Amino acid sequence: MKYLLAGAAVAGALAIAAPARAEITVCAWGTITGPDALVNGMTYGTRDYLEYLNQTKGGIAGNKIRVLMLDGRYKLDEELKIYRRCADQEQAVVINGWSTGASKALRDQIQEDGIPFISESFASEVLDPKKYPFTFIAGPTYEQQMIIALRDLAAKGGKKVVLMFSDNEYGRGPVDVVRKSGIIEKLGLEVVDLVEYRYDAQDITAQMLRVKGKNPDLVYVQGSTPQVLVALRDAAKVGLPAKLFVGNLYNISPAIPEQLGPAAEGFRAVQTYAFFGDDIPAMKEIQTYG
Amino acid sequence: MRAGGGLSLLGAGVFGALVSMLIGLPALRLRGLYFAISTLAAQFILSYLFKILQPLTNGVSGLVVKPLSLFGRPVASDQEYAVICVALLFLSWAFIARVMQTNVGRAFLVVRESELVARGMGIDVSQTKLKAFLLSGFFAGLCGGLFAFTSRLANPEAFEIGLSVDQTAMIIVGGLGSLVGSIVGAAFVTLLPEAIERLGELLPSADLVSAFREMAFGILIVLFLLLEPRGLVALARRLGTRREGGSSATVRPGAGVLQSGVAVSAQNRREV
Repeated sequence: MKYLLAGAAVAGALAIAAPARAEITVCAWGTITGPDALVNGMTYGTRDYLEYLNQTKGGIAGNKIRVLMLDGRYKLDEELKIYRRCADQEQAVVINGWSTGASKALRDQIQEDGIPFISESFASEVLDPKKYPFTFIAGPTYEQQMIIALRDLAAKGGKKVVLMFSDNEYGRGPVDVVRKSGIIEKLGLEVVDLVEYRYDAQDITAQMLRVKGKNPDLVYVQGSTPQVLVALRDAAKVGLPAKLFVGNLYNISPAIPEQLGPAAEGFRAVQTYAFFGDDIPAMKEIQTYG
Repeated sequence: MRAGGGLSLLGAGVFGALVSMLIGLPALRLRGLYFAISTLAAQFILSYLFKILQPLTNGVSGLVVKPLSLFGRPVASDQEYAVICVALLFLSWAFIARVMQTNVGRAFLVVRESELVARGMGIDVSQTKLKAFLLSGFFAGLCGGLFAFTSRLANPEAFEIGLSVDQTAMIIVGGLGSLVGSIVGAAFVTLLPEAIERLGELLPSADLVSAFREMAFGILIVLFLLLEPRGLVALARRLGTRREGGSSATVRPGAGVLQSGVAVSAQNRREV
């Protein structure tokens, strides 16, 4: 009993002496499983960086970060559920969300809750500093990336464009925005075909045959790495060269050359960040930590 | 939405009933497996329609739903929604339990066990099935309305084949033909993945556990089908009788009737 009392006294004294160090909760949901799991590196990266801050710099101003990495499974209802949990139960100070569908569905809710939301979706429809001041995107939008590729084609004298996209918000949204903006015609280009496919499609040979018939100068894929893998594989089957295809930032993946080999030769993707190994300050941090 | 959220929920139920009747009218001409496949086809067609009818459904983006307002006051928190959902659950439960005691309810049971016997008893099979469709459609519509209010988004992606599989799993796990079973099964199937995920967060490898969650679900259904096809309710009953002294005399009087009905219908099918 004496020991217990002494212990309680010591604990009490400590509690008074040391200012309460609160934990900072950061919520990051990605797609650990599901059809898009191949590109979940972005969530692992977030978690690893925050863990790195915890281990080497003692968190932020002495406060440890609690990283909550959750699995949205690339399913909208699952992601909406996770958002509610992060905002209400976990009291996260920052939420790192995933899909375009979820970011768009939650865009008004996020402003109401007033919790900074970093979107892994780069759709321009969630980016509006006036209307959605709490939503943040690091880098150019999907639409801007598409325009980069289109400008490149126009500068090289190409004309015929095929736009490929998945049948969800991530695929349809940005393609609609760019087409309605009229920039394609302004660049002197012509959309010869639109190819919509299921985001978990396993075979799109038929669509590739159709694309081949249109004889395009560029096929822009608004898709994720798993879809590009299927597209390039089936394009090779029907004799469409990979050099016609251009993807966005989600297609900078070692999986493409590794899995496809010569079938991926010449495939390009719009890079909006530094490459791994580039001479940048963050790279030095990664190397010392690793 | 000005007329109050309660009315829109009721509207969702009535609309659900109407749509299921529309699907039911042609589908009910088919039997057994063909019937199941035709309703499955209806799901795919509807899902496709939701995606392409942009002006009505806003396509894949879905419709943003304003919070439910009851008695001129918006329902804000998840807790309040939970209270509403549970209250509606008990109302529906009481209603269905009442229906099962009427002639219509008994006709449902006979048709489920054997259409041949039902015909022999002078029950209009297709009309009974249509009534079952209407009732199920009403409650499905009500659930959809509640879902839209709680998730605040009505989008086609939430209503794909996976949901149908989940719902079938709920009935199998809970216990076919039992009202308590359907509730127990729904709670179990909904909470199990959550429980696995929360447990996984305590372990160092969250990514592995997340993959395990999907697997656990499949394994569970296989186990139930193999070991206890009548679900959790039958399992609980069996455990209960064992504790009471291992005698099987405590089985409720009504329970045997249905089983003998199954036996009869199985025999009949073989003869037909």
